[in-house]
Amino acid sequence: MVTTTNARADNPVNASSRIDAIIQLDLKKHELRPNPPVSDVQFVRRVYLDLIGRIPTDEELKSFHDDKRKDRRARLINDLLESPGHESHMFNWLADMLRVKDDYYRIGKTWTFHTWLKSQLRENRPWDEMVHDMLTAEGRLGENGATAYLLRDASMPLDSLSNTLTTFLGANVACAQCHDHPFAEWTQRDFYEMASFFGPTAFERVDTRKPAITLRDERFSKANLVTLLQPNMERVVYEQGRATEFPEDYAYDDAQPGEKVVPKFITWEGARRANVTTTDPRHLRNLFARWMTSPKNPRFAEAIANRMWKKFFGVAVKEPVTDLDVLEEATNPELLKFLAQLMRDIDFDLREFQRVVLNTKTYQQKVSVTPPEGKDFRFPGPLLRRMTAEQTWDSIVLLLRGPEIDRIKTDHAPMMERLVFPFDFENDRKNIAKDREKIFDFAMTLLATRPGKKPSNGEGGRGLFMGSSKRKAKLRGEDSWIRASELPQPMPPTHFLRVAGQSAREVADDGSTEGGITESLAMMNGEVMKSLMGIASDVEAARNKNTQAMQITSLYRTCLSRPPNDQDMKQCISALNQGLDLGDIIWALLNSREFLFIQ
Amino acid sequence: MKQLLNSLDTPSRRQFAERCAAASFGLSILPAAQFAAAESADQKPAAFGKAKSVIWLMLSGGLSHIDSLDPKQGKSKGPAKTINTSADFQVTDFFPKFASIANRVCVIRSMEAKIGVHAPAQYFMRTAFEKRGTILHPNLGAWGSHYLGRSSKTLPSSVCINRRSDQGNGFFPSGYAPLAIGDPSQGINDVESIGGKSAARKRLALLNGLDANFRTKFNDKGVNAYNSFYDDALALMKSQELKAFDLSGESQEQREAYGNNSFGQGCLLARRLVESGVRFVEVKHDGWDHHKALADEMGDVAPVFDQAFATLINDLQQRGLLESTLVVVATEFGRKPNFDGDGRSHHPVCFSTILAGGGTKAGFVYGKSDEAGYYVDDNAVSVGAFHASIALAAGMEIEKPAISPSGRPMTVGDGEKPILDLFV
Repeated sequence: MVTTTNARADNPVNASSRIDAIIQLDLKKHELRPNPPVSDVQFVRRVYLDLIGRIPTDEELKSFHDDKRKDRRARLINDLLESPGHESHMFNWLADMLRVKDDYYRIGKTWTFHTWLKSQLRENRPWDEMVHDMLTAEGRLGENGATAYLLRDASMPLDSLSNTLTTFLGANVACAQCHDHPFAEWTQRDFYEMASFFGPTAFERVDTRKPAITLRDERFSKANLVTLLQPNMERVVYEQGRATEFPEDYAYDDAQPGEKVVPKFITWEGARRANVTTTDPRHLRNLFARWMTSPKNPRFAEAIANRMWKKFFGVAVKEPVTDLDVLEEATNPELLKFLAQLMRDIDFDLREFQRVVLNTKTYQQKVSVTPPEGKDFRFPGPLLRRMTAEQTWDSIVLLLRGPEIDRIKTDHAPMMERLVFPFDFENDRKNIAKDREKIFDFAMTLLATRPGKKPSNGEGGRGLFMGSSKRKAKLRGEDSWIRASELPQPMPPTHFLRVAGQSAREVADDGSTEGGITESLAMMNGEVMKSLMGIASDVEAARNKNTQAMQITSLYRTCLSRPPNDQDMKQCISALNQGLDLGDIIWALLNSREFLFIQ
Repeated sequence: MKQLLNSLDTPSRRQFAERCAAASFGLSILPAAQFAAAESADQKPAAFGKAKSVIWLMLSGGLSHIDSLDPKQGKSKGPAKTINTSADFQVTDFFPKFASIANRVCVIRSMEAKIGVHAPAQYFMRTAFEKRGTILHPNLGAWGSHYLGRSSKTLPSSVCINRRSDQGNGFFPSGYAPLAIGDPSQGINDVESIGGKSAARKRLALLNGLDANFRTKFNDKGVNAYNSFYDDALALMKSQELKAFDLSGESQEQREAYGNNSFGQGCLLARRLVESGVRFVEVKHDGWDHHKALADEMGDVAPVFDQAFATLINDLQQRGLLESTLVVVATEFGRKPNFDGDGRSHHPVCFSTILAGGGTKAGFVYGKSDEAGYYVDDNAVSVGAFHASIALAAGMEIEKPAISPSGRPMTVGDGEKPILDLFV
């Protein structure tokens, strides 16, 4: 049994080699061979997409190919891990996992959460600490963005627990809300015993329309107040006397409906269950968070390691990532065990994990095509994958605008933070009237410092304190040419991002790379393509070249990250001589499978 | 061969026979036509094939049956009043317009399922299979394409409105996936090529030339799916029937009658599409997950559904389309009888759905729930039987399974039988 991977910051090479060794052994056992090594040309495009979520620029290609050092690949991996683009790319990955949306129903804006997530990624905060913070967050949404994690499933504590266990532990417990789990060991009782750790925690959705009605007068209208109250009233707090009870229709003999549930942790593989003796609500939640994120937890490291592996290989070691009940059913249990141990040894440092995985020979091999249904993929290399919707959009925006996009950041959190009342108030829809003057005084100071015209007496509607119409990113045109992580989360259903498969963020891990007719039409005929063919920065760069050959080469490098071969050159020159122009060549390159699928 | 066949047990024998047939026909999935000749003249029920099209209205979140189609008195009663309808059953006053056309629809009050979590329950309601492992299952639109082929020369046979196209083709070829319309008021975007037809032709030739190596090198399921999507998109661009997607072809009154929202306009678009030969259209409506403030939230979403649905039924009726169009109202589960004055939580073991047109009985209630609305009392309808019934109406010979790419026989509704009592 592997107890350590010897993976420390000064010795990552061993861990990478060990991964290769485990996979080689498995391939041999199944009479398979590893794929040949990936070329430098393919490697650089792949690693840019996999680490910073966009294709490389012409200059970035040159910089890599001009670097003659032996370890240039490892250096590139390090550089990309530290670059601003990495934060953007990781945000998209987490946003899909955690169902990040700008607006939660009746809760309003959640920008403080996005900013919090981005700061965690920027600082390379260890995964266990991030998750711990999300699970134990307290206070007002406007003050503590991490509270948004629990507020995502506000008023649905059972769904919330189910999502938490599935996301972070791969515990497939959803069914256990209503009855004993049909396949795994969870019973409905187990589920309620887990839920009761959150028993005293209130994460309720407050419909601020009602308190707004109570508060309003000729100075501020209901609409004005709804948004002012949200960052203050949407909260995660502890409530005296609040506890989880067995449901009214609890059908098993081991408890009574309505009986208070005593917290107990679930276990795997028949381990003994410890009794929980605390009743302090904050302590209860902390216990849960510590148990969940502990290196001793038999699934926490496995779950994140498995998900990260999938990110780079197109398929996880154990599919689906939401079901780790039986680890032995992984295609390569030894590999999963090692990856999880690695994650523990490096103290859940996600960048370090990525560094180890990307420096394996296995990652740096050519891709395989999707195996037939029912056949396990044993990692002779990564799978050929379509770019995610966000990678596609970000690459397009790069072509439209250039690498400055990595530094264009949106941060709306301050707009919410400034609305937080610097005092306690009656957080109750009727009694809040007692604090009307305090709240309205504060609101007046907000308006006094608001840029632009000062509306009066109920004008300005819901946007009064947020200035929403001006701040909203334009959904069309050049103002929207920023990276997916900086746009509204998610985009509206007809925006290119969604059409290309961005999740609606209602269901976790719901980003799609399947494609469809609607997407093909958008790529061939849509606004985005018109811009790409016309005024894009890459077209300009190409146009400035002196010869047709140089122009074509420029376009190939920027779009496909490689030079054109003789065939390519012949066909393109012939096209130009038949009345097509550089924009048409871009059309052809960007509508190609080669553009969209990562080799 | 006979000896070999006899030595296998029954399911394997069936599989073996199917695989032999598949091999000799050179196909992995047998179209129904191949069987027609071999079959003796089986008597099909009268309901078979009455529906040329299916409009599937998906109320996402869990329609509270007690607060809509299956009102209760006593402890389970919700905030709404009970009202009479034009048929001999009652509904709540959240659905007043529905009440006026109740004599044209069939309400099922005995839906019975097990999954109480949104995403898996929606998958189950759309496909009649549980999502397990990595197998994807088809929706009824894809099954329709499998059994019946294309429903239109140039339009897609399957469309979904207000959602993406997943939970669509399942294990069937990617061409059976529904075409996704994100906003019915915008219809289908981007059907005009940039810069005119001649440039587009040359461009396309260049694309295919430059990309040829890649496509040959990678004979990959995902790549091939894209090849087929592009082909379908190009064919669609040439279609004379694209105006079916354009709601500006309808009068202002008609658009207002359906309701100026994405569900109402979606229903109108669905009517246009089935009129133009699209076989299966799903329209999704979000917002039915009333854990809290049920009265308020139903107050928001119920009128939208109520208006659109009643208008759709009337509209189809007036155009003489109701007999040949099966309208389905589905949801992933119901909501608990236990009403605390605020909301209700998920409840899959008993809930309600609607069928209308397409040969179904009109002004009819199928099945009963118990006094509380908790369990099904009579004539339970599984999701599988629900699917099998719709498939029967659509003329699918579901007793002949499809074979998935991994060799498994798959049947509509996971083998459940259609309920003939739903039909005239």
